[in-house]
Amino acid sequence: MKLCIVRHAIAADPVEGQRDSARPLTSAGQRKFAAAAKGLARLEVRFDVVLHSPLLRAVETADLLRELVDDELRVTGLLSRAPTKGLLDALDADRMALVGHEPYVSELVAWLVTGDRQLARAFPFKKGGVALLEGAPKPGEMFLTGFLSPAQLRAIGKKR
Amino acid sequence: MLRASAPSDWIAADPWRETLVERIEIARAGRDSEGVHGLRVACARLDVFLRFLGWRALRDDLRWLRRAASNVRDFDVLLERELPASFRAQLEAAREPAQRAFAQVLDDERCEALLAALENVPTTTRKRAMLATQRLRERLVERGERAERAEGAVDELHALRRALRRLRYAYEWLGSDSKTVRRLQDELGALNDAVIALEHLGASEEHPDAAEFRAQLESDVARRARASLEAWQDSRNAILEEPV
Repeated sequence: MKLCIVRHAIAADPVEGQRDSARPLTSAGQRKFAAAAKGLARLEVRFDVVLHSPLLRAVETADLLRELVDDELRVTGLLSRAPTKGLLDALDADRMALVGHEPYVSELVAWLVTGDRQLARAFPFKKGGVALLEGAPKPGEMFLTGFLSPAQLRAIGKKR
Repeated sequence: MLRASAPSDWIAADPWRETLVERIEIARAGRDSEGVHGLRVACARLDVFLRFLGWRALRDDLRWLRRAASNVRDFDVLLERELPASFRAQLEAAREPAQRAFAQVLDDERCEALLAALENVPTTTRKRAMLATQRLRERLVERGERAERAEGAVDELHALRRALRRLRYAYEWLGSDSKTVRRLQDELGALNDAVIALEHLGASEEHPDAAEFRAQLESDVARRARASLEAWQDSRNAILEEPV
C-alpha cells in the first residue's frame, strides 16, 4: 500500500479555559497547509481514505486534503494516542493518509520502517510535514519513499 | 444589514450535537424506534452545519452513522404497514441483522471519535450560514431542473428530496421555516417510502401472495412520482422568492 503520514499544520496556542483538543489551525497554518496540499497534488498523490484524529487541528488539516480524496475521510481516536496494532489493522485501503500528532506520527514511521518505535527521533516531523511510505503496513515492512517539510511541498506546488 | 459581532449572529453546533449524543444513548438501549429516527435527523442537521463551515471532514462519518440507522429505520417504517404475510416475515427476519450491524456501529470506536470531534467544531456566523443556504437553494433548483428534464425519474426525484432536506435544515439552523419546503418534502418522502418498499419486496417469485400488493406499490410509485414533480413545479418559484 501507499501511506502518507501527516502531522497537523500550525495550530493556535492554547488560551485559558480552552480544551487542548479544541485548538484550531491558525490562519497561516490553514494557508500554508492548503499550499502544501497543492504540492501533494502536483506529485499526483491521491488517497482512497484519509484517517484523522478527532482533535480540531487534525480535523482541519485533514479537511484541507479533501480534494485529494476519492473515497472518504474517517475520524479515529487511534491517531490521538501512541500507535497500536489496532491502528495498523485500520489501514485497509491501498492509498491512505493518516493525520495525527507528535510524537505519535514519528513513532509510527519508525515502527513501520524499522520495526522499532524507539527510533522515533530519527523521523522528526515539522507541523504540516509529510512522510510517504510504501509496502505492507506491518512493523519493519514499509519503505520510506519521501519525507517532506511543508516548505518543500509548497515549493513543489508552486513549481511551473 | 448583516453583522457578525452580536452574539445572536453566531451559530453553534452544540444543540444538535447534544441531541445526537442523547439519541445514540436511546438507540443503544433499544428503547424506542423514534430514537433511531432522531439520530438520523441529528446527523442530517449536523451535516448541514458542517456545510456552513465548508467542511467535508466529519460529514463522511455522519453519513456512515446515518446510513446504519436508516437501514433499521426503513424496516420499522415498512413494518408499520399492512403487508402480505411472507413479505412481513422476510422483513422481520432481515431487521435483526440490520439492528445488530447498527449496534456495532454505535459501539465502534469511530462513533466515539466522531462525538469527540463534534465537541470541538467551531461556531459559524449567520452571514456565512446564509451564503451557504443560498448555495443549497441553487443546488436544489439544479436538482429540480434535472428531475424535470428526466420527466420525474425516481432517481432524480430522490436527489431532489435530499437537496430539499438540506435546505430545510439550513433554514432551521437560521431559525426560519418554510411550509412550502415541508409540504414538498412530505410528498417526496411518501414517494421514497413506496420506492423502498418495492425494492425490499424484490423478485415476484419470492412472494406469491404479494401480487396485489406489488401492483399497488408500482401504481403508488408512478402516481407519487407524477405528484412530486408537479408539486416541485408548483412550489419552485415560491421557494426561490422566500427570503433567506
